[in-house]
Amino acid sequence: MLLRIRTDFSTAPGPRACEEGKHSGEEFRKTVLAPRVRDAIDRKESLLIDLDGTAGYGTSFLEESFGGLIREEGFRLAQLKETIRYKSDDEPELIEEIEAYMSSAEAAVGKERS
Amino acid sequence: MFSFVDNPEGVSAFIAHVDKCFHTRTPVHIVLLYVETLTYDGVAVLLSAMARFRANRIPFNGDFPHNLDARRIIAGSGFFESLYDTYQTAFREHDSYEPPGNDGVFARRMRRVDSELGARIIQAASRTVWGENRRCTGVQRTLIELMHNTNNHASPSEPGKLDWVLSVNHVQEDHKVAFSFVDYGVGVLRSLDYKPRGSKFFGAIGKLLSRFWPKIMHGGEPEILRLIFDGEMHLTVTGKDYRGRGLPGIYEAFKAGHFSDFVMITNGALYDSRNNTYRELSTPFSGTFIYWTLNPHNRSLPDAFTDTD
Repeated sequence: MLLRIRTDFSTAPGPRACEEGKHSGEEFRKTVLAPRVRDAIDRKESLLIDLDGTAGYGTSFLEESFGGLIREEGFRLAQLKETIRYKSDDEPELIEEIEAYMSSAEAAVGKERS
Repeated sequence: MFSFVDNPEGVSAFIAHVDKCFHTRTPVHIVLLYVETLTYDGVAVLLSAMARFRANRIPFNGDFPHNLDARRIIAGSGFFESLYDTYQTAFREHDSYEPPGNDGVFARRMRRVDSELGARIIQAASRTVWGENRRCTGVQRTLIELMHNTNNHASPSEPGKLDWVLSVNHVQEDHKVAFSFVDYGVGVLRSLDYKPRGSKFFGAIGKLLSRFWPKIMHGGEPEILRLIFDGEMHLTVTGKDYRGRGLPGIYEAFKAGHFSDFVMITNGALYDSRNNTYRELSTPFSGTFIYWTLNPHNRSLPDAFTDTD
C-alpha cells in the first residue's frame, strides 16, 4: 500500500492542530494516516509513506502525525515499525526524525501506563 | 541606522521607548527624518510595534526620512498599507501573498499558520535566487515554526490572538533574498512565566532554569537561548514534553545549510550567526525577531508543484 502525502493530503503540510491552520498534522493523522495504517495492519500488508514532493514539513506536523499515532490513536511502536516503510529522497533525515518522535511517544505512553 | 540586525541596541532602546508610550496610552510622533539607513528588517519591527497603537486606537504619526534610499524603502515596503488597512476592521484571516514589486519587499500581518503562503513566498524567492521555481524545505520549516510559535506562545494567555509581520526583501542584483519575521508577544524565553496564576505551569521557567543553573549563572538569557538551540534545554509553554521542538528545528535547518546569516533576538538574548556570538541586549526586546537570507549556495530542491503556482 502506498500513501503519497503530496497527492493524498497536501503539497504544503501545515501546523500541528486543526485550529492553528490548514493541512495540520492532526487532520492528516485523523483523516489519512491512521485509517491507512489500520487498513494495512488489518490486511497484514506494509504501508509505504512517500514524504517527497512537498514544500516542507514543520516539526510539529511530523510529531503530531507520527507521535500521535501512538499517543492518540493507540498504536504501538513495534506494530508501526513492522508496518510502515518510508520514502524520503528529498530529505532522508526526516525518517530518523519521525522514528525519534514515535520512540518518544512510545516511551511517554509506557511511562503513563506503568 | 534603523536596522535591528546591524544596530540591535539602538533599535531595541527605541522600541522600548515606544512600548512605554503604548502602555501609558501616550500618543507618539515617530521621527524618521534623520534616519540615514533604514533596512527592511527595521521596517518589520517598526510595523509590528506601531500596529498595536492602531489596534488600540492610540494616536500616532510620523515623518519620512530625508535620505532618499531610506524614504524609498519605507514608502515601498507596504508599511503604510499594512498598518492602515488591516486594523480598520477585524483582522482578515485569509490575506493573500502578492509577489513583490520593483521595491522587492513584502510585509503583512497574519495570525494563522499558513503553509501555502510560505510555499508561495519561497517559490517567488527561489526565482530571485536561482532564476527558477525551487523548493526550500528548511525555509518552509522555519516559516511554519515561527507562525506556529506566534500562534501558541506569543500570547500564552490568549493563543491565536497575536499577529506576526514578515518582510521579504529581494535583492535581484545579488541573487539574494532576506527574510525578517517579528512577533510582538512576550518573547520566547519569558513565555512560560506568563501562564495564568493557578496554572500547573505558572512560573515553570524558574523550575526549569534551576536545573540548568550552574550553566546559566553567568550566561543569562543568551545562554538559555544557546541551550535551547543545542537541544540541551527543552522549552515548551504547554508543559507537554512532545512539544517545544520548533526552535531547535530552525537552528538545525540553518546548520544544515538551508539558509544563511541567521540572527535571532528575543527578550534579552541575541544570537548572530555571522560572527557566531550569543550576547545580552542592554534593553530587552519584548517579542521575537528572526532574520535570515537565502542565496544560491543554500540547499534547495527542484520544483514539484508549478501547477499550483
